[in-house]
Amino acid sequence: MKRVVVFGASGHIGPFITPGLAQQYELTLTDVAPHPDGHDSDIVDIRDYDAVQRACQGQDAVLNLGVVRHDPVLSWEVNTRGVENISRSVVEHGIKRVLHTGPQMVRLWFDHQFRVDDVPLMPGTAHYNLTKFLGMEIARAYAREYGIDTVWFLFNELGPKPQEQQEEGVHPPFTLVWEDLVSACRLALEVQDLPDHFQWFNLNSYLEHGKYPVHKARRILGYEVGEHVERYFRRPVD
Amino acid sequence: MSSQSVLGRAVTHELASDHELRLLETEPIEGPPGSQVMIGDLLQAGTLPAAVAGVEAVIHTAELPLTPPADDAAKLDWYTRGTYDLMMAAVEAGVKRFIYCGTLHLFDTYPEDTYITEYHEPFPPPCGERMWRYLGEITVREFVRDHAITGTSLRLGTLVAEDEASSDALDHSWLDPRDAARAVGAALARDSSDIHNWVRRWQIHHVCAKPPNPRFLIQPEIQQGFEHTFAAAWAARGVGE
Repeated sequence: MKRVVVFGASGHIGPFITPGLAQQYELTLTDVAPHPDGHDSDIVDIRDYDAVQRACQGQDAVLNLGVVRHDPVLSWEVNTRGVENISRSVVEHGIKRVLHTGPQMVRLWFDHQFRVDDVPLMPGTAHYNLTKFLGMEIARAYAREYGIDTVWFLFNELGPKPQEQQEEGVHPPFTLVWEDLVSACRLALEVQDLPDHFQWFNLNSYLEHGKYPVHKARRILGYEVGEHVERYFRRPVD
Repeated sequence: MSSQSVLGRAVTHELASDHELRLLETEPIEGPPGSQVMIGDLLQAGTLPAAVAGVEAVIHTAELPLTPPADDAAKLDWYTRGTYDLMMAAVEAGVKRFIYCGTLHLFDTYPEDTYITEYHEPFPPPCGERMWRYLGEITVREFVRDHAITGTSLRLGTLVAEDEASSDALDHSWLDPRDAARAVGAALARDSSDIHNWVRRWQIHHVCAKPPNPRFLIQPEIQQGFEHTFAAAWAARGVGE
């Protein structure tokens, strides 16, 4: 069973996807805050290289869910420098598989177009996007230099899968349900021959508007939307 | 910014005679006659609005200040967050032109027989100054994408005075700081901030001298007025005779 250390395991993503990975992987959960559900979790601040390095010891892979979105100082320290700390630690321990998450970075430029897949990322100057993007550039360089298979999943509006039929619902592009992110993480932890040792993927669970498809994730990872969210939002007709 | 470095001194010397200069440094310095010196630092965001208020252009040499960041983590912050805060201050102050000094050493990993132009993908190493400068350049680019400001990145070669260049260590990217300063001065003339298409507001130029059998194919207009060819150093090794 692969051992995977999770950074940022207590935030808005970790508690909802780590249960879906725990059956297949031996997870070590870490965060600056205790786990909200009381699971065992180590206190690790990814701004602290020594702490990150210790957390990576004995691990086969890293899943980085850590993020600070809007703070003008912390966002740099966590989203950019934190990736540097993780990347250095991964090299030190010979880990060859790293997964990161971040925000989609194309909507500002392509929301009036359709069938947009695999376009260059355009982070802009919002702290959240730009600091994550610079973290990606750091991770990309480490991946290239050391042959570390590195995957970034980009999305927005992560949340639960609908449980029942609903009459109305507006879903912005890159809406993603927890189950699909779990599925994508499993695929990324197992994929062989990742092109260039580095790939980012736009993820989506709602494809009906035909705006941002997931062809690249399907082609490289074998990702498929588990349950199309749009099925739960059908207008009743006679 | 960082006007006391070799590059900074060359730039201030080049521009002093026909520009009003404001120099930002972490410590008191003596600038050229008529220049204004302000104490501040990119990692102290509060010092930046006053530094850029009322100026027409900002030159970010991307050279570390007299009191440099304490360690590599802080240097990464300086190049990224510091550049971000400087750009933000410039945009908010209505500055129209921003010049950033990047590096040609983003291409060190290409094979020696590859001709390098601005079209080639940079491959900075994972850490260290080359990566930090690259991240700073991306930060500037994103501001140009989002705001009506002209941005120019001058990716400079290895800075060395021509008379100090050693023929024992020939470098295809040699660039005399005085010629680098000329390139900065030339870049100051460009203002595309009223062009809506951001691609035309953002330019990258590679800058170095023209050696025999060049590796970097520099646009001729960039080298216009350059006075330092390093011909003697190359000739000492029998190259270009």
